[in-house]
Parts: sequence; structure tokens; C-alpha cells
Amino acid sequence: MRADVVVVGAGPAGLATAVRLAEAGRQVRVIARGNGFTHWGAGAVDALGRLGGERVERPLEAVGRLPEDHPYRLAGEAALRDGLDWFARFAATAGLAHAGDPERNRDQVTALGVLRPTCLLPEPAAQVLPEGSGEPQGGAPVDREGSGEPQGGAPVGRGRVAVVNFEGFRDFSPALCAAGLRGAGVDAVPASAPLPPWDHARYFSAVELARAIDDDDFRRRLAPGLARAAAGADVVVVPAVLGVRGGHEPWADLQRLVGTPLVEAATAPPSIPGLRLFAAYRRRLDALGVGWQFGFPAVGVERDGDRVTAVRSEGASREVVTHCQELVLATGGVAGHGIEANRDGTLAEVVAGLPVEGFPDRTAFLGERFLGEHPLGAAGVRVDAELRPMNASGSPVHANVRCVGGLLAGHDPTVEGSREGVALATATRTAELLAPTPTPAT
Amino acid sequence: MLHVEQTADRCIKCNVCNTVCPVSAVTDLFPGPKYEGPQGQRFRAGIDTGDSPDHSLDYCSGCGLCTQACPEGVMVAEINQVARERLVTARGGLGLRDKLISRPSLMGRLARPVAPLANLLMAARPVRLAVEKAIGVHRAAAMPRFSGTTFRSWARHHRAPSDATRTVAYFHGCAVQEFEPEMGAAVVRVLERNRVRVTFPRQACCGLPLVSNGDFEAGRAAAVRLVGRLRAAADDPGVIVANSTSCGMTLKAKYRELLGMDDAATRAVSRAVYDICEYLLELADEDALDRSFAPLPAKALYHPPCQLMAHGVGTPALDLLAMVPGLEVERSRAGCCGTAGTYGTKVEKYQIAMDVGAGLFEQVTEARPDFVVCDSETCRWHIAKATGLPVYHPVQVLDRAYQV
Amino acid sequence: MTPLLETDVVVAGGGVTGVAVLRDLALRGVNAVLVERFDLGTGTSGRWHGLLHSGARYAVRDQESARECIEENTVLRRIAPHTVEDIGGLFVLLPGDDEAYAGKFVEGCQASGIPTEELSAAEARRREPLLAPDVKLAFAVPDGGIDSWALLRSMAADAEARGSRVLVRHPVVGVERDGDRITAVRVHDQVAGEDRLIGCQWVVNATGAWAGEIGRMAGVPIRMIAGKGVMVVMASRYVRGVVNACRKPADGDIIVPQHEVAILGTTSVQVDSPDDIAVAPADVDRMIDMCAQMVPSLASGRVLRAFAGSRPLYQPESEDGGASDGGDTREVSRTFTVLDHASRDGLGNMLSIVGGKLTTCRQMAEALVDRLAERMGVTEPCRTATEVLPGADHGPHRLAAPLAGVERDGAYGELICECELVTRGQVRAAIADGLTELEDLRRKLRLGYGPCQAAFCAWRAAGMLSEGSGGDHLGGLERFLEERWRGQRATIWGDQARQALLNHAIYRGIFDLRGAGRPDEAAAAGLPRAEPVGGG
Repeated sequence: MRADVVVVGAGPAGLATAVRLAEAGRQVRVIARGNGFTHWGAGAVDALGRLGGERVERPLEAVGRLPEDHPYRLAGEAALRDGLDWFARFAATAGLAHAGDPERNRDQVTALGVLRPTCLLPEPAAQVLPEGSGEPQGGAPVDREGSGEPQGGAPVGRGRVAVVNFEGFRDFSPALCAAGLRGAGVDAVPASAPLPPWDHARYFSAVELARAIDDDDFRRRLAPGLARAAAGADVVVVPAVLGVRGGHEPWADLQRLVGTPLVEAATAPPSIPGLRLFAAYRRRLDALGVGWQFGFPAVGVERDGDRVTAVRSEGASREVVTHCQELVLATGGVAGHGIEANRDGTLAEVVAGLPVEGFPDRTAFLGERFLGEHPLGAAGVRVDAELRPMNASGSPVHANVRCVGGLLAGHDPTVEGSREGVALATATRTAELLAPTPTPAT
Repeated sequence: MLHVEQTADRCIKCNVCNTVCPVSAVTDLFPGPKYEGPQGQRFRAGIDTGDSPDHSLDYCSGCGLCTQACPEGVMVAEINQVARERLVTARGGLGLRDKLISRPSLMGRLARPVAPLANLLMAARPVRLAVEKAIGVHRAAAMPRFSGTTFRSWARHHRAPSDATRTVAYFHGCAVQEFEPEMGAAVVRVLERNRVRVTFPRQACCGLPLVSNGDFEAGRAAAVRLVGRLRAAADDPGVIVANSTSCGMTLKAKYRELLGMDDAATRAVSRAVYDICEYLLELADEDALDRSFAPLPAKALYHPPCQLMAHGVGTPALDLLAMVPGLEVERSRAGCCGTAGTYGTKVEKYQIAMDVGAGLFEQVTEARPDFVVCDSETCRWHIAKATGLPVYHPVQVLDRAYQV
Repeated sequence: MTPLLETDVVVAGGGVTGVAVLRDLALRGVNAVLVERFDLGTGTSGRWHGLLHSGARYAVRDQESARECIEENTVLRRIAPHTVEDIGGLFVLLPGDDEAYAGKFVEGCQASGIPTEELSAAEARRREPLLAPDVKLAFAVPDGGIDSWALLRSMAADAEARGSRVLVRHPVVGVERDGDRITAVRVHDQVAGEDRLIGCQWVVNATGAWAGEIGRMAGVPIRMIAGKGVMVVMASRYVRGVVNACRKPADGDIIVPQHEVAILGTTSVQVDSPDDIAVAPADVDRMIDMCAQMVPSLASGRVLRAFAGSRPLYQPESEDGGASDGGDTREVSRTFTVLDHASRDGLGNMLSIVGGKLTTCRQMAEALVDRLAERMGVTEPCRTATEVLPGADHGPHRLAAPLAGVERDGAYGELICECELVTRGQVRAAIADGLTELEDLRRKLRLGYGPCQAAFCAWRAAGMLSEGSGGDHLGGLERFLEERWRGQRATIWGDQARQALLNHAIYRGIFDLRGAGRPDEAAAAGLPRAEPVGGG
């Protein structure tokens, strides 16, 4: 097998890198062991949500305060800007228009009623919730620092929010969500909307429900019950299940039918908005002629001097060797299975054996509190300003290997809320480095 | 077999497998790969395995998309297949229908002397209705046409050209032997065009239908027999090409994974197997592929079978078809066409198979190709029946492009 | 001080021994109240490997214990089959093991009345396909698995149905003595936050490893040695029945399957306090490496968690030695002792029961209650060996039972905890029964026990709790997650590390939970961080 550039990994970083490289004119092949964080995220584009535990209001501005070895500093602020900009256009072209401004963060509604900070939100999640009557409505006091300022988009004002579940859907509790929102000063009331008779009454999860909502006849039968449950609220919060196959039309259609703005709340995996995005990436990759080898991990490389000449991946009965000019590793750190955390505290990068700093023993992997911070989440490969992995003396291990996304050291994408931003910034920088001709506008 | 079950350990419950399962997408009789596979496995590992409660497991089609999508290496579909074997054993073995449809070469041999009549009958609605009632093969399920002559009888009379620079052994499988000898001839012609001499070692059914229906004992007997017959070819010429992606996958991996066959002979055979498109693309990588294809101005829709993806080589057919001038190829967005081998022929599963394939059939309707291309024979028959279009193996397209 | 109530007998200690005593008293018509500092089964009874002893482990060196075990093995199967996994056990001989020991093993089993059957290596591997290829031979014995919480629940239910009372979260903080008799037991009502008196005629000290503390409060010396044992819980079952090494008992020589997991055990080290339940990574590594000699795939397997429990080892005053600090406590006898403090210490109305093992809890209770009944003048004989426990009609626990239930009911769409197959209906019923905390749901329903460590079920269940009542369910969710986290750091690597980071990405990344500002209630209440992580 021969390729020009091999990208290993099909999560947010791998997908963006493959598309940008292909758009820049390289011939790309993606090798991936399976799906990744597109399927496990909140369905938003996080640029920088928190710094030192404090909520960040202006992510681009905050980049300057990050340590030198942070991926944003290495890739450069311009790469982050360009990456976010490119993403917004790519998503919009795919029917997944996003709202938001890289200059300031906004709130995303989650299924537990907590409002998480993020940068870009797909339209179905973007409607800003109106403030309540002023007094916290009881329920869980939520430790949330809001900016207190309008976040742009639709006028805020005051109003009521209905939090509506689809009857029988196990992964959303309107009572819990509404209690959380009330603690944040939103006048939220729980409700439930019945599902029309359908062929998945006995067993369904978010995916089956989302597929049903893709069908316009199902939506027409669903809308009246949803409208009744909304009962005059100004905004309706529902779980993020409004269609999975394509763009935002199911959400837009349902919103029209119900007559009230609908907001998708982020749920636990599988991320339906993430699936929409993944499908859009796949279509784009197919259209660009990018080779796709999915379901088998890359397990090694072949070298000639300081260059990698091929990637070895598992095949059904023998390794598959893909020769390449350039290699980009987007394998995602420990969480993404790009780094193995061993019993004895050491870490190993699984494809090329790149240097990764381990720990004296495994008790140092994780923090004392689960909801605190975990050193393992920030573990990764150290790279130079050209995203090439470095050895101990600071020189690149290979001339033609780059690392992107969660694989990079110097950041914890979960704790700081930067996963998609780092993916896009480093994908952009990689495309710049590997494609001297300017990246086309679309 | 036990190794496969132990991969259940790796599951982090992320639900990725559930997002790709084509069966749970269309029926709530099947709760999805996570439930059946790594989750259910924890409750099957005890001493009282006699009575397996997993009736819902029966709806798993074995397409394997879950195993491919899993980022942790859980072999979900294989766990299900092993569990199915236990279920079948607990029930006393395969029923009559599954015994029959698991033995395509037997059926082919029986029908061969009366092939034209058999084909007439199998196309007749009252006959199909009776067959459905008698043994449970759905009246509308796609059936291959019996051939009056076998592939091997063609091969016996075939004179190989003398300009070969390499040699491969050809594992043609039951479908080419009994139903589509002309397909096999196309494979041979394409190889010979590329100065590859083709040998035809004595062979037999790979046993996949037996294994996937849950009769591991008979499957293992078939596997041992086949490995014995192909053993020599694994060393010399050292390459065994297969045009059926399902049989190829079985030889490459399933003997080891499902039947626990880890001996030197099985390993040698497995390592020597190439999918025909995989092999041709390797020739191309070495600049040894004849690219003098005549233009074929046509539009094709290519559907990579789920069991091709299980080879781990991507979709070599796309790269090959791209070399044919004038041929516009659109790629199927579907992971599975629905038939999953013999699954879609069963009366209780037929509608599920059609629902699974609906997306593909819709894409075909929208794309309006002149023909469809697919590497697996049961997929070809199923897609042809559902769309009314001709469906070719990629090699047949290359053969045509060479012939002009 | 507010008097709480009056009774005939106060039983201190909510482990299997205390609850068995309560039941025995109830069956003999004696009024009794049981008091327990946390919840039933939070001491040694909830921190062990789940082995229903055949006694074969003691056959060579301690045949008295061995005989006790095989007798009670039979009784428990009769009276509490629903708590038992009828799975058998093997003692395997590996290369390097002393063959002479195997001979002594067989003799000892025979002498103790334990049926054994010798199996060839091939037969042993047919029965246990994951056994090491170099196993030489094996002996099959009637080991089994027993679910101590199910046993506790059954015995307590039986006792309560007959009029006894169980007061959990009521630690004993002192006694009122009048000369040579205890007149009342002072307990702290943790919910109300104040001390109460329970007037009584007799006191039974069944606090196991903590017996010495009760003794101190009563003014009598009881020397207990805390013999800590570490156990490692694997994420899947590996073996069909129990697998033991056929050698002198040592670290890492037993694998006990329990429901969907396997428990590797154990160590035996004397520690200062029975509340010392810390587990070091080296302990975990040792368990895995030793047990992997019998089942090699353990070495690359996924660990769910590790925990430690304290054996309640009694050191009689007259004996010197036993184990020195930090030494191997295996030499201390495992059989039990009834201490009559009247003759021993001049305290007229208290009895203690110490030592023993879970398999013999009923027998221990019988011995103690026989003595107590004699002193009380109660003539009812013991019936606990013949009266079956509530739930016995369900028959022995079968691994596939939860899956079979879901299949039978087509309840795939009802699963809240997918790892443990806990349905919406079960959670609703538990909430209707008055359960308000995720911890309660975990203990009652096994919610959150599985490999994903509550990644999904925790917030689903929190949602269901919030449908029923107001209150800070988000805070409850955070506390529950932190509780599950305790003690996991020694066992997280590989697959489990990926699981932990995914869970972190869900709860902290998606839901932005940071647990800030929520007090650690256990610490605030001054309780040791000893919430049980359980035997399964």
C-alpha cells in the first residue's frame, strides 16, 4: 500500500488533519483502530474553557497566558483562529452551521443542567436561555461563574424554560436538568413528551431515537406532544437527539412545528451531534478521495535513518504495510489509546515508540479526587514548534512525523476544555507545514 | 475462541459499537452489540453454560461493523458468534434449514445435473412459497443461479499462457465453483493479463456458513480439511488469492479467532491469503500492474462489503477502479447491504436484511448507476435482486476493461 | 440521656456473626436488638473473597477448622441456597509445588470428611479452560461461592419478621455497668446526632475484628489481632469454580469467582487496627502475579478494584506469640472461640464470639446462643440449621440469571446499569422502598459495580432519584463518584485507565462537574474512610 501522507487516528484531530491536508493537495490515507472523541464529546467546539480551574471568558486572549509548551503556543494563535474559522465554514457547508465567536466563550446546556463553557455551538444547541425571574428557584446550588453579560445571538431577556424528555428515553432526566438550571438562575420546569407509536418502542437509545427523528413523518407526529409539553415556555430544552443522518434540518423542522425555540442539551456518549459531524467528515473525505482503513490499529513504523518510510497496521492475518512520505499521529493520548499506561507507571506511545514521560509508579497517574485533575490526562508526546516529536535533547525524533490533538503533552483537554480547539489548531498548523501552497478558501 | 471472549475485558462502554450496528438500527428485537457482546459475555462465563438465555443474540447478523468501530479492540461480533455456537449447541444443533444453507457446495452439487430446471423452479413463486413453509428460507430471498458446469471443469481445460513472472494459487470458493464459474474465469484472465500464473489446488468449502450459523464442529472439520489441501500452496507459490471477501476473511482470521486453530499449518495458510483486489493493488504498488485499461464510460456504485473491511486493507477495489478511464465510481455510504451471508435468506430475518439494505438501495436509486460493484457474492445477489441492476465483482469490471 | 428502648439482649456487630446470633435468638423466642456502627456487612463480612469453604484449605494443618467448614458448607447450601453459587473448587498442583503436600492434602481431607476427587491435568483443563498449561493435576472439592450481603439480608429479614430489631448507623460508644452487670448499652444515633441508651439484660459482643474495642468499653480485655488481607477484583470471571493452589497457604493462592467477577486473594499481615484497609500497588501486583501462576491470562487482565479486610483473629491471654507485628497471621488458628466473661472476667452478663470464618457463622452463633440460653434459662433448642431462610425457594444463584431475566422480559430498553443489568423497574422499586442515595442503590442492586464503574448508570440513577424527590441529587452524584474513586488508584492502568479518563471526560468534560464546595461527609462526621467497596 502506498500513500503520500498517512494520518493515524479518526477522532477530532485526525479527521480535521486529513481533510485539511487533502484540501491542500496531499494524497491522504487514514488508518484508525476505531472511533474516538467525536463520538464521546459534548458536540461543541471547545477552544479554552477553563484556566487554573477558573472559567475563561475570552479564549483567544487567554492563549497568551498559557505555558510555552502548550499546543496552542506551539501551533500559534493564528492557527487556532484559522482552524476555528475553517471549521465553521466546513460545518456550515455540510449543513451543520455553528454559532459562536472565538473571541468569547458561551454557555452550553448539558443534560445535568450545568452550563458548560464552550466556544462554537451547532445551531440546535446555540439558543441562549432566558434568565429567570431573578431569584434562584431552589434545586441544586450549582457552583457556576457566569459572565453575567449577554452572549450574543438571540435577545436574552427573561422567560420560562421547559425541559422536556421524550418518554422512555433513559439518558435524560428533566427533573435533574431543570433543578440544575434553576440553580443557575433559569426558570426551568420539567416535562415529558410522548413518543408516537414506532418500531423501537421495546428498546431504543439516543441513536435509534435520533434516526427516527430524521424521518419527517415521525417528526410531524411527535411535534404536537412536544408542543403540549412545552406549554407556553419561551425556550424548550430537549436531549440532543434531533436527527443523526445529516444536518440540522430535523431540528429546524421540529422547531418550526413546535413553534418554540428548541435547544439540544449535551448528553453522555454516544454524542449525536458528534455523529452528525463524523458523517460530514466521512462524506468530505470520500469526496476528496482520502483512503480509509478503519478498524485496525497502527502498530509500528519502518524507518530509514531519521525518516519514517512506512506505517505498519494490523491486518486480518498479517500486518499491512503502508508506505508514506509523511506521517501524522492523531492517536489521542491515553484516553484515545495512542499512549498505553502500563502497570509499572511507565507510558508508551503505541505507534512509533515516541518518547513519553512516565511516572514513578501508577498511583501518580490519577488525582485523589475523581472530579479533580489527573496527570495521566495531560500526558503526551512533547513536540517542537513544527509539531515534530522531540527527544530528550530537544531535536526531532523523525524528520517527517507530526503529532496533533490529544496525543500532545502540555495540556489536559478535559480539564481545560480545549479538545476540539487543539485538534483544529494543530490540524491547521500541520496542513500549513505539509502544504506550502496556501490552503484553498473552502 | 477463548481469546476472543477475553477481549470483552477491554470494553469501556462507550457505545460506539451501538452507533454502527445496522441491525439494531432497524429492529428493536436486537438490543445492540454492546449488550450482546462484552456486556452479556460477563454473564455467560460460568459453569452453568448449558442453558444460554440469549435469544436476542440470534438476531446478530455477524456483519462485524461493531468490531471495526470499537476503539478498544473488543471483538464484539466474534464474541457474539462464539455465544451463538453455545446457544445452538444447547438447542441440539442446527435445524434443517440452517444445515442446508450452510452447505452451499452440497446444494450446488445436488442441483448441478438439473441446473436449468432447478433455476426455473427456484424462480417460481409457488415453489418458493412451499420452500419457505417447509424449511424457512424466505420466498423473496435472493438465490444464486445453479450452474450446469463447475469452475474447476473450466480450469481443467484452461491453458495458461507461458509468460508468467509470478504464480498464485486461487481459492475460488463454493460460489465460483457452483454458481458463478464465469466470475472465476474473469479472475484468472485478469491475473494472467498481469503475467501471473494461476494454480488451482484441490480445495473445498471454507466452512464459513457453518461457523456463522453456529456449528463449530462441522465448521472445524471443513477448516481442517481445507487447510490440509491448501497447505502446500501456502509455501509454494506462497500466495493464495480469494475473490470472495467472506471466504478470504474466514481463511485469514476466523479459523484462529473462532475455532481456536492456532497450529503451524493454519497459520501458514492464513498468512498466505490475499483478497484479489488487495493482491492486484500490491502489484500496482510495485509498478507491476498492467494499467492499459480501455475506457469504460459508465457510472458505477461501489459497495465495500462489511467482511472486506474486516481484512484491514481498506478498499483496494476503489483504487483499482479509479484506473479505468471514463468510469465514474460513487462509493456506497452503507456499512452493510443487509444479507450478511445466509442471514438475510431466513424467513425471520429477511425483512431485517431488507431494512438494513434500504439505505444502500435508496442511494442506488438516487445515484442511478449503470451497475453496482461489490466484492462479496451473497451481497451481489442480494443487491441485484433488490435493485434490479447488474452487480459485478471489481475484477469483472477490470476484466471487461482489459478485453476491449 | 434519652432512653431508646429496653430489650433482653443487645447484639453488637452487624456482620454475619452478629446477624446470625440475632436470628438464632429470634428463633428461640428471645427479644433482641442488634446495633451496628455503619451498615450490615461493612466490616469483614463485606471485605472478603466470597469463598464457601469446603474446609480443604485447612485439611493439612487445622482439621478442626476443616471439619467445621465442611459441616457448615452443607448446612448453608440447605438453608440459604439462593446465596450460594454451586460451582465447586479445584486445588491445582503446579510444577515446583511439593508433591508430598498433595498427599497430606488428600489424607487431611479424608480425615476431615471433605470429599475429594483427583483429576488429571487434561480433565482439570476441560473443567477450567484457562488453567496454566503446566498444571500437573488437580483435586476437586465442594468449594462454592457465597454472597455475604444476600446472606445478611436474608438472616436479618428472618429475624426482623420474628420481632427482632436491627439498628444500623448506631455505633456502640459505651456501656453502663452496675457492679458486675451491664445494665445498658450506650449508642450514638448518627442520624439524630445524639447518644441513646438501650437497656438490656445481656450483651453479645459480635463485633469481630473490633471485639477488643467493645471489650475495652465493658472493662474486659480481649486481645484481637487484625490480620489484614488484600483482595483484587478482576473485571470478568475467568474461572467457573474456585481455583486454589495445592500448597501450604500463602499469598495469592486463591481465585474465587463471584457473580461476574473473579476475586484474587489474599495476603495476611498483622496491622495495628482493623480499620487499616489501605491497599498498596505492590499488594495488587503480588496478587496478580501469584494467581497468574494458576491462570496466566490474569497477568494481562483488567482489574476492577482492590480492597482489604481484617480477619478477626483472637489471641488468647495464656498464649504468647501468635504473630508479631507485621508478621504472617496464617499461623493463628482460624477456629472460633466463645468468651464467657462471667467466668473469665467477672462481668456477669456479656458474652463475646471471636475468630472463625464466614462459612461457619451459623455454627458460631449456635455455640454462643446455646451458652447464652443456658445462662438465661431459655430451653428452646437451636433451629437455625434446619429452618430455611427467606428467599431459599429461588434455588442456587446462577450467573446467567440476570441476563435470563432481561431476555425473558424483553427488558433491554429498561437497563439503567448495563454492566450489572439493573432495570428501571428495579430502581423504581428500590426508591419506593425508601432508598434515597446512590450508595444504597449500589449496595442493594449492584448498580455501579461493573467495569465501567458507574460511568452511565450513576447519572441515570441520579435522574431517577430526582424524579422522585427534591434535594441535591447533583451533589449526591458527585459524592457517589468520589466514593467509587476511593482506593482505585492502586489498580488503574491499561484498559481501566482508559475507562477512568473516559469517565472523567464525561463527568468533568461534558457535564463540567468539579465537586467544588461539596463537603466530604464521611470526613466531616469523623468516620474512618471505610465505606466498603465490597466483595463483588
